[in-house]
Amino acid sequence: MDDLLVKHLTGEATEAEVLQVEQWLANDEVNKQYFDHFKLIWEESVQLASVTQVDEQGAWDRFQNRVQEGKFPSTKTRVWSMNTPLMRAAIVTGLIVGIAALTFFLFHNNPGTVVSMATIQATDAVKADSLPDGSEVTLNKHSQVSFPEKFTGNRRVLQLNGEAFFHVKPNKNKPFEVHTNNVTITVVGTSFNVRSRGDTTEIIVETGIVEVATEKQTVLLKAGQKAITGIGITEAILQKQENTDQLYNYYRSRKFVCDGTPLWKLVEKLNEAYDVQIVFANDAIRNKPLTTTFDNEPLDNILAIIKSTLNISVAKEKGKIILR
Amino acid sequence: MKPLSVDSEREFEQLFKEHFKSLYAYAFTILKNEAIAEETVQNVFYKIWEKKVPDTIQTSLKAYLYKAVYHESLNYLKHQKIKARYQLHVMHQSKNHIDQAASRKILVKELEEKLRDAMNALPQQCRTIFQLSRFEGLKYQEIANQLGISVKTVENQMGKALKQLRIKLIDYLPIFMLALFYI
Repeated sequence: MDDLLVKHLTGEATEAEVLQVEQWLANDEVNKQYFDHFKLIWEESVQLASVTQVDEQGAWDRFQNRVQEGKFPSTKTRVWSMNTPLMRAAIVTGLIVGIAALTFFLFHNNPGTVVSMATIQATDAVKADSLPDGSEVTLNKHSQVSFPEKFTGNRRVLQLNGEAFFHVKPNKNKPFEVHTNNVTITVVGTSFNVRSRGDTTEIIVETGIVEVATEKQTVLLKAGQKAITGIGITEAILQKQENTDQLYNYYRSRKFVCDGTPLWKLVEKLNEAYDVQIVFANDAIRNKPLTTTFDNEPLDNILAIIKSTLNISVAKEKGKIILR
Repeated sequence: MKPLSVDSEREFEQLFKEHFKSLYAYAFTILKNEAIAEETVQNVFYKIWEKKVPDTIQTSLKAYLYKAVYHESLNYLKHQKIKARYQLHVMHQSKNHIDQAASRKILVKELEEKLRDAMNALPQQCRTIFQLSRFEGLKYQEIANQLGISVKTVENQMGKALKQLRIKLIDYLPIFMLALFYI
């Protein structure tokens, strides 16, 4: 029956089979419910499809670049000794193949269209670096930004995963574009923070004007404003808000600035910064406001201050820090 | 070992361009990340490139490619588990403070994640056939032709796919329906 139900869903069923399914559905409410589940799964699964446009030529160019730069994981797992005659023969053959491949690429690649990509990656520590155009980027932990080694053409395009702060060198003729999570952020010269975790992207503008665009919406942000996007059930949502706190800056300034900031917001950043898991035992204290600045202090000091200021208890249990 | 001839190079490029889009879409539904999806597909092609396209896979090339992308993607996910846990953790953190209106969407989003996980848990052939039917919109007959299997097998595997997804998701489906109803 499963096969038939699915054939019905996919429109593969013959007339006779459709009748058979309908009769089965009419027989029992349970059957109908069963089919509704199938239908729901079938209909919802389409949400998972790739919506981005890729062009084969671009992908092919990037593939060739990676081959050239030797950026593929080795498919060989055995460790070879250099001293066997076979190995030496292999090395010589390898060299010949290498030269042949190199010659091949030199003759077959049009240097004008091929752009090498560079990547900056921060794993366990915050990382600051400069981009080919002189702009500066600070990456939070577990974040990565990719860009062409040279910004040719009339745009500066980057791909971001995670969180980063950009200080963009002004150039009106060459907009600076950050792509992340189906969001495009375009500026000509300004500074802003982009945080992209899971499906949510948050953009906070520090100076200048920033344009944030999803597939369907565009908003303009000025200094002190922020935009939040998320993927809803049928489409991306994009909201513009005033930015109310300076906490986002913590990974660059090493300061946690709280100004009437609810405790949960601080805790969220502390968890990231110190790789800990601070949790609330009761919801009542989550929204307690806190006004203070922690300047590059050890976590224990911060917790002690929170404890005495808000009059709550801090306990360490099973790798978690519990506030109640 | 001999270097690729110009002919096989052209052939390879053609092969790459012909299959890239659908394989990328496949990897994307598993991995949910554009850059990693592209890299994954590239890795698969690189392996073929290194082997200079063995004749043995020519018979059902598409089946081979889908199988390879499936395994490469899941392999990636396996290695990224720790990182993913971190991201999930952060996501979870940020979920706690979203207003009521958004929270329904988040709920559905969560169920979507469950659906993705359930899909990723399907066996390779089953998953590939589901992909071709659902996301590539192919008819059973077309799937059978491309993968070099019988239409009956496609039918069975599609039935099996939905059945397994339902079993995996059964706890969430009632909330799922409710959420959809109210949005």
